[in-house]
Amino acid sequence: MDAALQINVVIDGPVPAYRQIVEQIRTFCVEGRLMPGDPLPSVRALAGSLGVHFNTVAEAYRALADDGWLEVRQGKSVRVLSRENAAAPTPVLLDQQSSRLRHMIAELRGLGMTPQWIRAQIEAAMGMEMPVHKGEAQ
Amino acid sequence: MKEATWILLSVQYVVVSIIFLSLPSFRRGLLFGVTVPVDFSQTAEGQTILRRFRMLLLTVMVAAYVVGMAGVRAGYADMSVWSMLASIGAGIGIWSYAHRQTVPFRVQVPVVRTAPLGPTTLSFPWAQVLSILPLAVTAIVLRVFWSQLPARFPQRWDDQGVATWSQRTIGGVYAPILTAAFLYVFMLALLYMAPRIRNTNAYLRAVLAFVSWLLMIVLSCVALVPLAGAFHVTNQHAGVLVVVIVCLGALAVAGLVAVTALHSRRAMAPYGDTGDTGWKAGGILYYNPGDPALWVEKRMGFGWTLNFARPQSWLFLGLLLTVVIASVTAASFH
Repeated sequence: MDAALQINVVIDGPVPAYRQIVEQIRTFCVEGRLMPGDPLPSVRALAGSLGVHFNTVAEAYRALADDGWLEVRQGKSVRVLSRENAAAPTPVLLDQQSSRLRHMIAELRGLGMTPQWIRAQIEAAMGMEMPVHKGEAQ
Repeated sequence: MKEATWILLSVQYVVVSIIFLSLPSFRRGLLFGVTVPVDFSQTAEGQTILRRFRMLLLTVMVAAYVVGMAGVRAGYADMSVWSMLASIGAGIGIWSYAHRQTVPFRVQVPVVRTAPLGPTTLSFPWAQVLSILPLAVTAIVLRVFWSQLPARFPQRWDDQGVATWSQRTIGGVYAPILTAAFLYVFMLALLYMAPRIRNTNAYLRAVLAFVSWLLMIVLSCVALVPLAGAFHVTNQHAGVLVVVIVCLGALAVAGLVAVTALHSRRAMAPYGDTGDTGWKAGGILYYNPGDPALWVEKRMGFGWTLNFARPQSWLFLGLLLTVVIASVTAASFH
């Protein structure tokens, strides 16, 4: 793991603090900056360091664990999980995410971004990704 | 001892003035505890507020110094203490005045808090832990030379000479050691009770280690005073030596504050980790029930302060008061 890896939380921002933590850790996992087996700080340590409530970090870790990104066990350190054996997304989930992506592209087009720019951004983001996992190859 | 009193008083005012003058310069984007644009200090309005603060502060310090010295010359030794306390109170008042002057230029910025996710490179605080060494050596030296200690030795001096004496008892001889030991434990507790200090700020750890070494060395020198007679040093000269050591220690602290202000301004992100909500008394005290953080970055100076809306902060304050009371009790115990 990158020793300089930091997590930033905007206090009193429009996005809840737990959501910000979830999104950043997930991004680090996808970009390969957090690798399977990497330990994360305990709920208490991260909450103390960030100056947020314990429940905020606990909720974020729980959400990430539910999605299969983290292993959180009572009395054990929190670890990043391998997603190689993650379950394949259901057709309903694929539809939902496809719709979400279309809405986002429409929003970006509405804001004046060109299709070339959007494509370049998506390719750049995909370029940072870890090798495609079994569950994503659909 | 008149010269020593004069030197001590002068150094006190120099140190307090340096500390007060350094206070507004610690963080970009913060001026007198108010969130302002990053380059506000360079604008005409910012410069005017800063100049007024410096002028008022220096005027008050010089006036208090003159009054204190005049009082001492007239035989009112306590006047030096009262004038110093009054000048510190006035300094805080001037800060509050400058704070009110700055409030109209306040801006809203997002409050961002950062924490390391990876392994922390900071390990066991050896530099601070080893500051116990001078104290341990002093304790051993006093034990070894116990038989050469006089039956009574000076404990405090004033401009007339020795003001109070102490006896050759465990309490009398080891009082400064005990005081230093309390401070040592307290400073280590400070390091460990604030996980944000422990994990994220190497410079603050270095500052704590420096202050811990300084306190241990100064108090070790004070503890060695009873041995002065064994080395043919008169009580008067011992008093002068103590004054010189304390003055050097105080000047080192003032230098540290000034250097830290420069470092902090250059190296740290602007604004700090809190918004303007919750700051009281011109950005000196933090009371924000909506903020779960126990420790937040100071707006007056460098380091961290407590969120007094959290019950743990009162527990910590109680511990601090216990250490102070225990230290004073130990120092006056014969």
